Amino acid sequence: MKLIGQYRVPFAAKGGGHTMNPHFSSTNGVHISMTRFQKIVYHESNQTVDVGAGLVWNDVYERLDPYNVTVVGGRFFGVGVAGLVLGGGYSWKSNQYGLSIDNVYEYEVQIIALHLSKFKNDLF
Amino acid sequence: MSPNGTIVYVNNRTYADIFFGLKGGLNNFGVVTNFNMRAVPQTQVFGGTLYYNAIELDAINRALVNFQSNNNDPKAQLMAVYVIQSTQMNFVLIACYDAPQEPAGIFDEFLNIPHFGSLEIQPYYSLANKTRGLADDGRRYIVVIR
Repeated sequence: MKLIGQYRVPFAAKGGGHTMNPHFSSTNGVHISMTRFQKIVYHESNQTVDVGAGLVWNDVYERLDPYNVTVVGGRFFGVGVAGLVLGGGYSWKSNQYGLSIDNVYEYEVQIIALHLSKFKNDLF
Repeated sequence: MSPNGTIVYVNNRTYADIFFGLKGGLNNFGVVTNFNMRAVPQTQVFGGTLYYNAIELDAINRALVNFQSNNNDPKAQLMAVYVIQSTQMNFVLIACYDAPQEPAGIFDEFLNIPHFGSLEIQPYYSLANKTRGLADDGRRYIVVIR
């Protein structure tokens, strides 16, 4: 991330790699694979689940099945966690619980900038 | 703005503005490595994939309009996929009822139209795994009837 910032090269982060659209999980610059972020931890005490950015949803559901819980995620085989939950996220549970983005309590982020105000002229 | 590689935990108290921005923000604020999400209860579901020939499209379109107009059970959802293969259009319906029983009447209109495939009670992950034929490695949305 430091080098990307220093040399200002384009980059992309690939979660499941399901989306075919150019530049969604592809780039001419630095391509960061999230494949090794495979963590799934069910926290029974506060009814949350930690989901790694390199997983695909069907594996998430299978690994949560023994606990009789799930998370509000994608509907299709092979869809990745990261792209869907950072972009919106329709689910088979959405009529009951909303989109995936409505069901995230906390993000672990290797951050570009800590204060969004630095972006405000670009964004708003 | 310069990336410094810092790992931070973004929630609605620590960094409320970035938390808001990440609701649709993709990779524009950094690289997200983990999501802490709400756990919701999951039983087995009633669902599956149904495959239709193009000759049934009028009946299918009517059934979709009726489902959209009349269904008020939030446990019932459909994914309607119109598939064009060379010159022919076919139709694939993926249905899910989020409970371990067949809901009375909700999917009947679709089940009464001639089709391949079936709806059945199964684990939630099994429903997702069974769309494998539609989105296999190296291919996308190719229908495999088996």
